[in-house]
Amino acid sequence: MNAENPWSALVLGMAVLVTGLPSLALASRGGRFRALPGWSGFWVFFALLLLILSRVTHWISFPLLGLMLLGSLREYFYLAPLRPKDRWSILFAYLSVPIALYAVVLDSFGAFLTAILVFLFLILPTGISLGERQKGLLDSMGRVLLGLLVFVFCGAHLAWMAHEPIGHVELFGVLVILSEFPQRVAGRFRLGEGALRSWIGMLVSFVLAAGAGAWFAPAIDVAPRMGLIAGLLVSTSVTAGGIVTAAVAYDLSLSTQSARLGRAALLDRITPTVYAAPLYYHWLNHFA
Amino acid sequence: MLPLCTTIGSITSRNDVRRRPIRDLLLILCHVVIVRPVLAMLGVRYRRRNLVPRGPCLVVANHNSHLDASVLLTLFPLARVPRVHPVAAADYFGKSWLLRTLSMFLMNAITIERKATLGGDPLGSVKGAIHGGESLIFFPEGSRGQAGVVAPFRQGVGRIVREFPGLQVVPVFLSGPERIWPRGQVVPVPLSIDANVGKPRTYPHTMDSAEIAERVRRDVLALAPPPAPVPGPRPAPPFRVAVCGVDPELRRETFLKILERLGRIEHTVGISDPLLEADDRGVHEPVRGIAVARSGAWVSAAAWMLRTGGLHKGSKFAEMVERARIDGAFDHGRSARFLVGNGNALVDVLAWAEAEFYNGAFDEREMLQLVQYLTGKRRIPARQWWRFLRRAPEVWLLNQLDLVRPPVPDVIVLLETPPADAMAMIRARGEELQRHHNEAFIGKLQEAYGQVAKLLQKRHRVEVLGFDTAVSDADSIAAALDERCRERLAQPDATGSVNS
Repeated sequence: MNAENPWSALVLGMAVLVTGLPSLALASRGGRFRALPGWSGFWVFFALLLLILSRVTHWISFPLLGLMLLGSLREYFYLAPLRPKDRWSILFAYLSVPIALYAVVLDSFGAFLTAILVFLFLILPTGISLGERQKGLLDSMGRVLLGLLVFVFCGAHLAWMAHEPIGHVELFGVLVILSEFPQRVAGRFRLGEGALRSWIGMLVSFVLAAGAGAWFAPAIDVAPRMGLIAGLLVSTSVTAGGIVTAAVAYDLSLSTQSARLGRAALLDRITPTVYAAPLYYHWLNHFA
Repeated sequence: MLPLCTTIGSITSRNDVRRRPIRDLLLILCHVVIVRPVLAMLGVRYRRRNLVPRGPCLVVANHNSHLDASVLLTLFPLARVPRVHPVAAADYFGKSWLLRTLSMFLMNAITIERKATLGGDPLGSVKGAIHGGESLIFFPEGSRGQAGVVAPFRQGVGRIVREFPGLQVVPVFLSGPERIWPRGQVVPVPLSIDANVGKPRTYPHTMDSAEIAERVRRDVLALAPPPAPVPGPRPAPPFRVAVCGVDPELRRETFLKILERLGRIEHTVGISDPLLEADDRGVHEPVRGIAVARSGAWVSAAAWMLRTGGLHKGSKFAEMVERARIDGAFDHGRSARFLVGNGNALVDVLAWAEAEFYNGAFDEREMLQLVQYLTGKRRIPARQWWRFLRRAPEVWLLNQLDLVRPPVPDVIVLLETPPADAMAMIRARGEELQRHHNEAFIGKLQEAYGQVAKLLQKRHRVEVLGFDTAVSDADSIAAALDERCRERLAQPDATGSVNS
């Protein structure tokens, strides 16, 4: 394990702790607060995974990330069933995880993009369209493509971050935690009743993430202004991820409660996080 | 090869008592190294696994995949696995040496003949195992069948239950294996599995085998989750009719008539105690599964502690919560077109709160707040807790413990009975008079029902049909509603629910 820049790990640990303790305290209030301890528990493991990605050899960290992505895909396909004839496309979707991660190991973004795009837009639709005709083709295809976009394309960007200097992955973790916590406490973005509270939550999350980004960035050799923008981008992506999760949960007839505490809880916790990975990675990699 | 087969064969043979400890050890090892890690990877989620009894039992489940037996074996602690046997079809698993060894060794199965043989008892091996104090995993459908379809149960399970009257039967519903490895597929696709365990129960041995098999099937189906949404348009939520009024007998009579009438139009479920179903064949207890079944003991205890009163006293409060949960579970619209409620949790709680809590002093703003508290849109502020705990604890319980969010009905059938008539009917039935059985309160309650109905009509576009019970009988009320429902269904934009 690389001991360089050890305090970035400490900051991530502190972020988990600082949000974890109020989560436990708030849980007894019920309602939307009930899901907070589960979210904090998820972050204990996820922060560990981020640290492993940042500091341990790819031959260990990537398989672990791959297992997490496969697990998420498995949960997703359980909740969003396809037509019986599409079960082969689920296997192909699983197969795309090691392919994407192998492209990251090769450190070739071109190979990664080609593999993902060709797979998503050319091979998979053909595979789903083959065989006997059954109604629901477009719906089925949409389900597969969304799963792959979130859990393979976005998820694999966590692996790309591992190529960056130590501290980048930890900063990502800190920014996502600080973006998510206020939004979860105030309730997810919504219109109509309770909108004001969710807007306040969003505003707080933007301020916290931008502030943390600006403060933490110099420690990883990034200008504070760039860190601030990274914080804003992560907050925006986390909000977008939350909106997508809520819409998918509605489409699958999952109540908000079951989406947060039941089978779909993993998706509710992981989707906003992986949703933020591509924007953050490309911002720091190409502009900062 | 032959000596190897003989050795494995002798180890896997259950009859060889000397080698049983070796066989048990190998079986446990096999589960530790192969079966349980594979299932852990698939992500099996158990609901109420603790209900599996410690003694001998018969686990009965739906069967769609070869994975089913492995999943059910994991319900038991490892040390018990050697004494648990899935029952396998001899004609399928006895076909080849490999299948036989796999089923005997990996699954610890015992085989039965699916077709009766002359002079032999096909269930002989099963009965022997139960006599020996072993537990069994039984798939009464007989074969894996079509994925996602629970076929009728064969009578074998009834025969076993009749022969062993005290035997505990544990119903389990498995969802997931039918999508992972359905019949006719060679390659399994990793997906998650849910194993929903029901309360162990016994069945009277006086019933005939077919009847017991049907009861067991109903108990298994009762544990089924609502069907997962498949790609395509979503069905409209059911059309909810709530029959409300101050006299329970009149309400029930009208409820049954309405249920019968609507059942003739399309499949209808009656939310009452017991739950009823109506279709072309008339009104009967449900033969299909009802999705929700939760223990209400702690809810009753909470209601007793907080002294809920009137219609929702103690265990009656838990029953109301359970009925509202069942009502909500039909929201997906796949199980019933109409839902008729003998009363309605939202309307009843509101009316009683209005009559008791607000003492009949109707305030629209306050009532709207109550609707928001009951439907879970708002939390009761902490500063108002004491007020609610003292005067309307049922509202506080529903809101703070998030017990249920009662659905808003589409139509309220309001039975208006003059208080004097209602009291006369109560006295005529010889019921023990309760605190609220007096003309003044019944009048207040009657008025409260009317005001609540008007409020829901105004704010939630609920249709209210009021009937004076002195003029209209249950038949005419049901006929009027039948006509109204047909009109609503005939509208081109009828989605089933105005609240959707």
